[in-house]
Amino acid sequence: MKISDRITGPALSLFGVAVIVGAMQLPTVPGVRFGADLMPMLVGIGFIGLGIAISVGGFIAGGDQKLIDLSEWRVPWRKKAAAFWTLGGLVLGIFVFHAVGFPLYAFVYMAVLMLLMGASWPVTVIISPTVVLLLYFGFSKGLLVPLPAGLLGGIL
Amino acid sequence: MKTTLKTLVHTTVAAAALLGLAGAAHAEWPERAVTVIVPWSAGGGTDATARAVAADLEEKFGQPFNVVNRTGGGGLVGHSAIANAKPDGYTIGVITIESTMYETQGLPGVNPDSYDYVGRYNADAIGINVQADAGYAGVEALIEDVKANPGTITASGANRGGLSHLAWAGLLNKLGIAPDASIWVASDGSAPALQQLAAGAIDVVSTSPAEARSLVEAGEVATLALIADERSPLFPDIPTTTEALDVEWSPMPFRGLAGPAGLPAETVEALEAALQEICNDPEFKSFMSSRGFSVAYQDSATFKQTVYSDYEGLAETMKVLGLAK
Amino acid sequence: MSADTLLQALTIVLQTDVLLAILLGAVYGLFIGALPGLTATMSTALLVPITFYMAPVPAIALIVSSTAMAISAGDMPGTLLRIPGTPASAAYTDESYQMTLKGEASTALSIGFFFSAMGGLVGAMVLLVTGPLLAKVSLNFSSFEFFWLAVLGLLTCALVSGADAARGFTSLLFGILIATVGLDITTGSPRFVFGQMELMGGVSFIPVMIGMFAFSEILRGFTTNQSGGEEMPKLGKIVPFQGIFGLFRKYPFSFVRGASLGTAVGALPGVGGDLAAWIAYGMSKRFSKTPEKYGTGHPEGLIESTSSNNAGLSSAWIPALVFGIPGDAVTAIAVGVLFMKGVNPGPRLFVENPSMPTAIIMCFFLANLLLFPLGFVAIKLARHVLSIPRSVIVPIILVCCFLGSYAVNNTLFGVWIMLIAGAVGYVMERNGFPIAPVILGLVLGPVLERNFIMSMQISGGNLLGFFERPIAAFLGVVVCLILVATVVRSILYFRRTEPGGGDAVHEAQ
Repeated sequence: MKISDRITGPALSLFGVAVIVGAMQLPTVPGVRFGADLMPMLVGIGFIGLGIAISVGGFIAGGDQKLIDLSEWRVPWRKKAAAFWTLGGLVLGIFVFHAVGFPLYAFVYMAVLMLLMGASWPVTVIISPTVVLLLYFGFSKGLLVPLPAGLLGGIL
Repeated sequence: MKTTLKTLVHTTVAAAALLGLAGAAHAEWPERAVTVIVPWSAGGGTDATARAVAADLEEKFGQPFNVVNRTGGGGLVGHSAIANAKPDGYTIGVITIESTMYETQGLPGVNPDSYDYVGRYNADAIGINVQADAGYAGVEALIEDVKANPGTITASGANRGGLSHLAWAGLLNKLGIAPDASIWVASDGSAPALQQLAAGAIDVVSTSPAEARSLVEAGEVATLALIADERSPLFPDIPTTTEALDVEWSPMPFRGLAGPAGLPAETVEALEAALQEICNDPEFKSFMSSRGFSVAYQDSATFKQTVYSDYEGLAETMKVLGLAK
Repeated sequence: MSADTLLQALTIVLQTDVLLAILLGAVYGLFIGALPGLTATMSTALLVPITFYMAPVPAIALIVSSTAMAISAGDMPGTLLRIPGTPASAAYTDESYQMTLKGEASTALSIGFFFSAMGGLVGAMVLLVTGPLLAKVSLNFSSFEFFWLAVLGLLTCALVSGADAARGFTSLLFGILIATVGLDITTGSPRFVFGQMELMGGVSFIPVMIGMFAFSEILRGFTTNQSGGEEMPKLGKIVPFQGIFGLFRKYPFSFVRGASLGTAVGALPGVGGDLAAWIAYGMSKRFSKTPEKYGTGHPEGLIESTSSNNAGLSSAWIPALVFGIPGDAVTAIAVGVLFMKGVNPGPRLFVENPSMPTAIIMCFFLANLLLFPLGFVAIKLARHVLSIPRSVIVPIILVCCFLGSYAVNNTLFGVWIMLIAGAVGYVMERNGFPIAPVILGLVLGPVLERNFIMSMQISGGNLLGFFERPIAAFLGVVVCLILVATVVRSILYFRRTEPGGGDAVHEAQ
């Protein structure tokens, strides 16, 4: 997703304004002259300035460029699906993680992605459970990271 | 064939485990591993003492007590994680005095009602530290200086509204001095504040004498007094503000075990008894004193009282300082 | 440092359990560091429970050798897969990844291990001789000096962000803004948390780093824009440490500058390690005869910053050992372990029991020496990483990223951060906004803000106060000179070339 500087620049300046507005909402404490709002204010001012600089550059560069260019996503459906699963599978995982548990979720996430990326069935079936189990035991037992076992709790 | 057999075995094991869980209500706590949440980062004082306590609990109950650090937000994140855990006895935590302050500061999520209290195992007074060559004969001289030159003595040790700040400003307040007569420089904990003190950029750091000990030994820093009503057994040579200034003010940062409100009574009792034994254990005592921490056990009921009286006392101070919301 | 002390320290270190701890720590560190998404800080935090059951010297030896190894090994996923292992290595991750894309992975990895080890050895050597003295100097640094150092670190962003400074600074500000999220230390009030409890603790740099570098690179791999082509990048010949002496002869000053800068800056509590690599990289570019080659897979800057990285690692222990002031998470943990074992850090430790700190420094020595053989093996094994097909390695990386972000605070919140940072990072890179400055801003933002606010509170808002202390005044003047020089340079540059001339650079990304 390539966005023209003619959008990015003004958007950055607007963002800077939003940051300053947000900073002004921060509570002030009596007796504190240099408080929580100082740094965000400075950052907001910086964004406004840089936004203007980038807009100017964008308009000088000329207007023949598309405002939003998605051409890099003109790829075979498998790649689109893989990218979608990379993001969507994680979001899904965040919601089912505690119910399903790490081992099962990680296995499904990995296996689907491997198949979408063109790995063969046998490779997927062997590699994904092996890697997931190695990581699961290494982390939960070896390094004491509390990973939920979830549905497989009785077995692992 | 082999796989079906395996599946069968696994299903049986799973079923057995489920039955085991169902039966857990009747069996004696703890049936499985207990999680101990520590709201401060690994390697700090709270973490170290929590791990020592957890190791001893593990020995006593024969189940793992896993310490998990949930840090951030000045302890708020971890404290609320303890408060919001399922009160089944399998998640407990170590709480510190900050847990009594969040609500008054206007931070939601935690107040003294959020917990069931097991017991306190440590409490140490805060010390008043100055540069060794600052030339103060005692804490009286420092206080005179603050009184005589308002707005020139800078102090630090924690964020604004942190316990270090409240202890120092509260002391000034009790002495009838405006708390802002000494400028508070907000810092991220005691280590950067001590660095500032050693570099000569500020004048006072209020923090526990254990944290300042290395610099005191180096001859860079001197601890003038403890903000307390009785001397610490670990630092018997340091006078208290009560004896030096005749003032009643002793905010004691504590460390204690607690769980989410609604813990089973048997669990609290079992933990309370174990904690008392641990606090009487010579090995635990010598570990604590080696780090400069005193062992100050309080049982469940007394600890709860301490927490509530701190909650009220600190709220009052925060109101005076304009920090309460 | 008497020969007696050295001998005593040697007998402490040359015990089976200590040597075993160093070896095991090194292997463990190598493993953690090499796993994409896991960092040196995390490796130490995960070690804490284990050190509880050990004697003091082996416990410290374990921490020392695992961090030294994890930091060096953290350069491997950085080089091969563009996943930096520490905020420090984010400074040069793109440089080494470019070398991999050019088929020079072997050289890049060798530089990583060889100069890390050399830098570490120099650092340990300097410490042996000047430890307490260095500590004494570092104690003179107040918030005013730290503020100027942080500004100096941020200025290097202009140097690492290529031709388009406006975009580089936008990324930097973005990082600083993210760093303001959470409970503010000045007033104790929550900032930009939008009612989220987890955000009160702020945004940890680990998931952001994993997301912006690794996750965004994976997303890019699905587009027509991928940097590595359809296949994994070619390895070239894998001959560990081949040609490394040639590089050493070619860039001796880079090494010396990097190592001494790392040792000096590393001794400052709180900023040391992370800052050193950034300043080293920036300085290297400034003094280089071929600054235009930076960012295209040029070994010079890599040598300088990677040497400073490990040199700074050992000096970070000095304020911790001498004054009990820990500078970072790793030393904070180590100080805790020492206290627990009845070894109280402090100047008395150096007077009463000098063999103890000397023994700790010797552990650094041994750990860094171990980098040569273990690095050799690791580079040999690296061949297998790149020979794994994309369809297998990418899912493995993603699961590791998930684990790494989760283990930061043992919550899924870190995974959210990683996910969002990844998506944002992808769009940023596609539009020519560099990623590294975001990490720089995120790490240095709190240092900058806290020291700025502290200094303003001390001086009562008087900006002249920033020049009153001698070291602060010196640093302040240096910063101002660099600023003026940069402005003059860019004016001259714009006079010579037409405006918009910098466009070609970010088109190429």
